[in-house]
Amino acid sequence: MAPTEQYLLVSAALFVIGCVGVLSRRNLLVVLMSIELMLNAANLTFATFARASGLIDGQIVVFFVIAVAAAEAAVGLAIVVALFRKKETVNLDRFTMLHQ
Amino acid sequence: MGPLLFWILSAVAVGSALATIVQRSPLSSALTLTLCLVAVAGLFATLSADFLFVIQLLVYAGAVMVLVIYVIMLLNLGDRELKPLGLSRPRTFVSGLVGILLLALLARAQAGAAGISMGDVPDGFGGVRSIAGTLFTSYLYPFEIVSVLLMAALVGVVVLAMKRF
Repeated sequence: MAPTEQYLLVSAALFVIGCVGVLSRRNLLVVLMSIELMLNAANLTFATFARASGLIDGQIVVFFVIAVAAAEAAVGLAIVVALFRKKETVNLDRFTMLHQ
Repeated sequence: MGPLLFWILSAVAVGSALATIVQRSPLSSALTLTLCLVAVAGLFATLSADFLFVIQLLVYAGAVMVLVIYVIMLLNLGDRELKPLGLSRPRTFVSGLVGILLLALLARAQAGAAGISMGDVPDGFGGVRSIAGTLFTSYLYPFEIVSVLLMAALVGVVVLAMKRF
């Protein structure tokens, strides 16, 4: 059984990779996927502490996070499709409608 | 077997996560992200979270990623959208710097968890029976609210898809 901090290190690495993806990429679809990556890193931390403390509540939180992430992905992708129909692009730098 | 499995799954998860954010084509990103989600599901299994392992495979690696790949194919992005990453831009430099600082912060934060060891858990921990026993007693109201949220998301997506902006 690998110790707790090794799981947490993997989780931190996944979160940082997702964060760098959100900050550096300009493709809306890849940014959405990076957000999924960050949510998964948080889920891994919850599951790790649920296992370490022997309480099932952490796993229930992961269950809720997965349900909310599914809703978020559906709404986010619908927004991507609506934006693409309007601007014919998925480049984030082209979506400047609010400050024009 | 235990530590070896952990290291293989961790290497696959981190490697495919890196591949997700550096690839040019969104479809390749989606496929490597699916691999990453499967590896995280395996990590859930090593944490004796059997129910989460199944849910992660069904909902995340299954439903959500199928939706993402479906949208990528629907949009049919041309070559103009798939221009090279341009790693010399200042934005990439700044986000890399933020990433290193965040990793240092998180690594420092989890040094506090170094003393926590994983003891034995009762038989059936993380199975359907133990999850359901807590979910439908202590967490009944959050469960119902999540079902309302999913319904609202469903209606919202249909409205978004019908509307002409």
